[in-house]
Amino acid sequence: MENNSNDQKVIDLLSKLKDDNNVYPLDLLESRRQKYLQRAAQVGLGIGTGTGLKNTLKGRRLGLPPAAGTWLEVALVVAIVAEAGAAAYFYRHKLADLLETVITTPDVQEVIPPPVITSSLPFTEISVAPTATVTGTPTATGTPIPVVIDGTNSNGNTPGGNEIDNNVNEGNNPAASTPDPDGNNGNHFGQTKQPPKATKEPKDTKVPNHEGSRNKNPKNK
Amino acid sequence: MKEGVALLKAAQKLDEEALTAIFDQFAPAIYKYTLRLSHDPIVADNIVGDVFSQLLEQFAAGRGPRTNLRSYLYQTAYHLVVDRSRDNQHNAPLEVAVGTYEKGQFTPTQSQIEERVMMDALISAMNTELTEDQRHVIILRFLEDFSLKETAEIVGKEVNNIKVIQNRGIAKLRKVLGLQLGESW
Repeated sequence: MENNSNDQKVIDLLSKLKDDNNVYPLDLLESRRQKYLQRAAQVGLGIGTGTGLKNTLKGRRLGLPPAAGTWLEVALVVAIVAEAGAAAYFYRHKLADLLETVITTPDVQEVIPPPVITSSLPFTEISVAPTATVTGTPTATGTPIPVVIDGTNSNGNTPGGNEIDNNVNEGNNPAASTPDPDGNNGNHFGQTKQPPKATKEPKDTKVPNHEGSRNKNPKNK
Repeated sequence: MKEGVALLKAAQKLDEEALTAIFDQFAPAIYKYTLRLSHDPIVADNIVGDVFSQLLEQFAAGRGPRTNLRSYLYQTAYHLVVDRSRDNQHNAPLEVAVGTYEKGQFTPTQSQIEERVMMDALISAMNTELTEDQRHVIILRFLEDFSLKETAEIVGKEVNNIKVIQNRGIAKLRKVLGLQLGESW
């Protein structure tokens, strides 16, 4: 209770401090006021310039009627659609091919076996002419088949006789290139050179040890 | 003269008349407040200039106070004083803080002398015994007549915190004055 009354005394004293004559000196106040007004004028001028520019821009933007923007948008959309349609008309074939390709392409590819060529060999005519050339004809297996064709000229005349002589062009004919084995089938048994026999037997030859691991080394015996 | 919100709105548009009115209305009070805190007339005058310069910049940037201009100005002044006090720990003579209170035009009576002694003791205690926060809060609450909420906004603390700071400050002043003045307290 006493504290409260004393607190109130302190507060009353503090309130009396409000009434001090501590005023702003007039010279300082006037000087400060002039500076403040100058600063306000500068700021206001800057703001005024900015506002004027903003209004100018607004005026330019608002120079067009509001409906003009809508019409402009519509015209642009129509132009874009027309251009796209013209391009599609000019390139309609390519577009059709492209669409067809896209549509007809199966999703799962079928495995097609390689084609079997039945008989694409050219007709073989054995002529009298001994000159024979070998041409490789592709077959299903891809191995060349020697074919003896005639060396006739365009007239069909043969330079030689009518007999076929296989030995004439033996070196050039791969079909007849294998010589007659004449009883030799290529086996040369007993003709392979053998290394010389060792005169001394190796010491550590493996001997089956039936006595256990202790006598594994024959030197220990 | 425009009042209140209308004045503030006109000032936000950098209306010269409104800006001048704001300066004339608040500059002397801000000066007194800053002088109480800084104890230096030159510093107080400079802080007044800074306060209103910042106000102009805020208005120019489209910001600034929207409702309570007085609190805003005191808050700005408070921050400037605190910044300066951090930079320069300067204490003016106590007489500057009390101003011309003692400059009576007439011969004081006995009661006036007693009151003068109490005031001196109070001012001395405020400047030496109170913490910075306590001094700010007591000045704002009892010398500038701000409410608890406004004081809290200016100082940047919660209202409850302001209450605690105020009560502790008053209690400390009471204690110091009781010790100095003896039985009368």
